[in-house]
Amino acid sequence: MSNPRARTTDLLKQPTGDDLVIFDQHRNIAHTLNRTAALVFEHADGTRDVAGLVSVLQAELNETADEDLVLMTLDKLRRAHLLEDAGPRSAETLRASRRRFVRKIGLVGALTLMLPVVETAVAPTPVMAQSGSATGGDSATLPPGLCVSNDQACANGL
Amino acid sequence: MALQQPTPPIVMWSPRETDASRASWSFFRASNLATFPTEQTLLFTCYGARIGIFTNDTRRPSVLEALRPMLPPGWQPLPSAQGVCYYLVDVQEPEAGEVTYTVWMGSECLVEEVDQEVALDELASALHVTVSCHAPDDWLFVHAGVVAWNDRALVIPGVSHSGKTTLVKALVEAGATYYSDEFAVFDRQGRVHPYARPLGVRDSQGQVTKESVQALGGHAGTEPLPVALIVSAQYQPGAVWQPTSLSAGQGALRLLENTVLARTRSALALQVFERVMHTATALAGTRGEAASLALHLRALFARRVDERT
Repeated sequence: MSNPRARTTDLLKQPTGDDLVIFDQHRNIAHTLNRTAALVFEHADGTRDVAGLVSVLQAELNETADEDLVLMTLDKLRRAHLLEDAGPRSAETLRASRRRFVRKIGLVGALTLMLPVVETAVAPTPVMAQSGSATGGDSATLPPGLCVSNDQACANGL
Repeated sequence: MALQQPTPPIVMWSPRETDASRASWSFFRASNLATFPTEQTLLFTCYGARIGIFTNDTRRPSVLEALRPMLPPGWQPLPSAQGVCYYLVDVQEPEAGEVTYTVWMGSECLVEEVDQEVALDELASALHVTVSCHAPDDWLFVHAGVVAWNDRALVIPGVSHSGKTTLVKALVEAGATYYSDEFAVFDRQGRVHPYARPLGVRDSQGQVTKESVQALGGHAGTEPLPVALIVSAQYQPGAVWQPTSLSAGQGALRLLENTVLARTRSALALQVFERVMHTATALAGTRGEAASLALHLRALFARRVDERT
């Protein structure tokens, strides 16, 4: 299997506090990655294998970081469409990784802080932002004067 | 840019299209808005958005006079109609004593042959959206309630009907300075500016009445402020406020998912919210009654001020 590689196209990135906020311009969704997820994302450049990413986490976070933590993190990034070569690992492999890591957390409570977090939100259209409708509207359903596929263009501007 | 007749390339008739709406549209289409009588024209700007309202109403006072108190807060008159987003208000009197109103936003019919109150409510509501969408990119509009204490803002992001006005009202009644019940308007430095329209208070039947902040015994802020706290609160009857702290990135996400132009100003939004989170902390949870949470938040703000000093 090839080394994991994070997506680089159509993404805006902004470090915010300890997190990394990413806007996916292709899907119009935003993610916030905690430190663990951000470190894996930033270092998954195709040159490092899983062991290499483990080394990064051990150096930057905690020496107890291991392959299971990296595999869990890569799985979360993959689900968020943030990896290029998103060949999925088998569900059983992932379940086993998760089980082993959860068991380890039971033994070393501090590892909880290292768990990867990838939280996602949909960037709304103007209509969705107002109504809160998750399904309500792409630009085609907007009033013409407010159709902002390019907000510099004012369809009803004189 | 020269003012032209309102003939967009594609005329999009609304589903309510009727002979009356066609006649209404034809009237304005045959007119040159550049030379429309000034007393039948209302041109203004708000946060840089340029808006023009034109009417065939020649009565005194006209429908435009009735609309003035409902215009977006802080509006300023414009000297010319150049580059405005336009609205048309067609006033007809089909029978003696019966006056009907049809409102157009560009080529889109907003409401047709309704009474003045309904027409103005629809128009005023649409104007707020237009401002938020057409303000230049010095500004970022987020659906949120905003109040302030001690020169620090509290931002409550949320869509319509999420209870933010109820909470804002309770906060004002608890002594907070009112900034908005609709938009947090952010500048590029991450400070929040006032959008202090009258509060749209909804009763148990869903009817909205407008209440000025003065009528609530409060006052509106005028200065831009840094944000101290972001509160994401879901209403649930009887719930006790036991919030969880959000990380900076999670706080930014709560703002982004309520940002009007989140898709087209995403780069600006990410930069602005990063700056917001320099000074802000964010909480999320389920709230019960607004008055109880308002007192809790007031105490929280007081503690934060003590910590700063």
